[in-house]
Amino acid sequence: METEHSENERMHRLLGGALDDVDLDANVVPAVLAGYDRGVRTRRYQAAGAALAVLAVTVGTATLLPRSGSGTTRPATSTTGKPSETTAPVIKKPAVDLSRCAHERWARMYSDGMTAPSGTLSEDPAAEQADCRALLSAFAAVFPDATITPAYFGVLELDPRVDQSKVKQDRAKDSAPDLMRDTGTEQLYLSTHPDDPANVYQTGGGTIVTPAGRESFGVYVFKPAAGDASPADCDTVTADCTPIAGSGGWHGALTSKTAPMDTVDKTAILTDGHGNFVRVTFNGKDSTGWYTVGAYAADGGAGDPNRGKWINRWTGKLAPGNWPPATPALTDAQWLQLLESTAFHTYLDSFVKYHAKLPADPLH
Amino acid sequence: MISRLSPEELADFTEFAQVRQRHLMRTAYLLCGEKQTAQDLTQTALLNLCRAWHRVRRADEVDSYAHRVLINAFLSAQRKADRERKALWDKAWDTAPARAADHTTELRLTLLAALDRLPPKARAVVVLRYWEDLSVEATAAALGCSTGNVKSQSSRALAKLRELLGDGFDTIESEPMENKHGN
Repeated sequence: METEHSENERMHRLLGGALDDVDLDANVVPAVLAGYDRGVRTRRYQAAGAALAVLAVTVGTATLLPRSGSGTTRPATSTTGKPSETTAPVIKKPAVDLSRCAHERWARMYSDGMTAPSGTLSEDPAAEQADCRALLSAFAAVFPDATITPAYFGVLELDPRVDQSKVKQDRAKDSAPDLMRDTGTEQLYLSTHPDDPANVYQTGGGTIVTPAGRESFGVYVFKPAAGDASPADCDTVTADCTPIAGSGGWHGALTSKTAPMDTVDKTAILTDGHGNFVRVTFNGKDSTGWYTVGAYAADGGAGDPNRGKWINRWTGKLAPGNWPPATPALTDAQWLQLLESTAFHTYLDSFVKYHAKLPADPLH
Repeated sequence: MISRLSPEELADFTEFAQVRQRHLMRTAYLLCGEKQTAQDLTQTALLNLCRAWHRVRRADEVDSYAHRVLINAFLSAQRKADRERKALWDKAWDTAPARAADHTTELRLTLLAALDRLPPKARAVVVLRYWEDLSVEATAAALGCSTGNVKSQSSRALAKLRELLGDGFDTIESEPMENKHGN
């Protein structure tokens, strides 16, 4: 046994020696994510990594409401001049700053909840702006002190500060290191400047910030597979499940499941009883807030003293470990409070109508 | 059909990929012996992992699946590769072994040349068993073969390496070594 152990150890050293002085710090992740995007259009994006998948441009989250010291309400106005038929529910209190919902560039969405291919803009952003206002108003009605952040991602092709010829060249070469070399600094800038016109906003989900923490969430329409037991009923769900009490027809089930990477996924499935289903997801993590130096460096951040650590893009805080730390903004009980609230159910009504009026997904 | 990932799943995958890519690339380098190819293998493996992420993460078998996709990418690339690289290594082999134990760099090149003379599957066994420190069972799972096959491949591969490396195999010093896994 000892001989075998010794031989194993010797082989391990031998193989380790073969790696000495070999520079293997290239960052292939952007290329991987870009490759994934070419093969499949993904759902709406709320996370940094997700946006990276589409555009190799890292996203951040936009601090929306309320701005500290600001007690004023400024109703959002559409910049298109064309009011959307999908209007937000009227929730007059508490005061909510909806100004960021007036952002001009929104990603095109389809009625099945999918996002159009990379960088495709909505032709009628008034609909997305209205949904944004409805979402923020619903959260504010339950948690007035919370700050809600919608999803957004940077689009280099819309950015006048970068050399477009280089971007085009790098994309043509499919070279993530080259793109990072030429635009990494700008991508980091965009991720922390949500108001920049080169950022594109996206409906459904975002990030909630409270004194307790900051976490991402998603809201999606979906259709259960034919023949599936109702996923909105705890009686038919095997995972750890909490019923979501109803109002106005909306009710459902909140499940909790341990996942890899130190994550506990929470999924709420709500139905209005008329065939409409909405999924709300959260896991106590701020998927947009943390990055590693390698994400913006052509060489993977080789030599950077912070390499291997997670960096919070908003606070600069460093965190060791394989995965970003959990920073839940709401407790499970508070999430349940939101999911059972009339304000949120009213939002779901408008959310379903918003989706019904979106163009059909050409792939389905 | 590629399954579409939710934002959280894609974010999780991105985190995983960012953290583990260096480790995978080092393993890939031991499998193929070339930096650029190691990068390509890692990229291919991570892309395949991304496409399967929906079910992989739910099964909580991320690392073992990553091993499998990396090995599959390697074996697939081996099947497609032309013989030019092999010829180059054969040439290198002609000059390297006599000086194998003299210098670290030469030993490294010699080891890579020796590994390249193993059949691809045997090389994968060596890397998984002795670099990744996988058990016989886990190695068999990664390669999709029996444990008996892993044992016999491993035994033959070690004998071959000992034969090829000669003194170089036995003169590895036993001083403490830093963790080379790059985790």
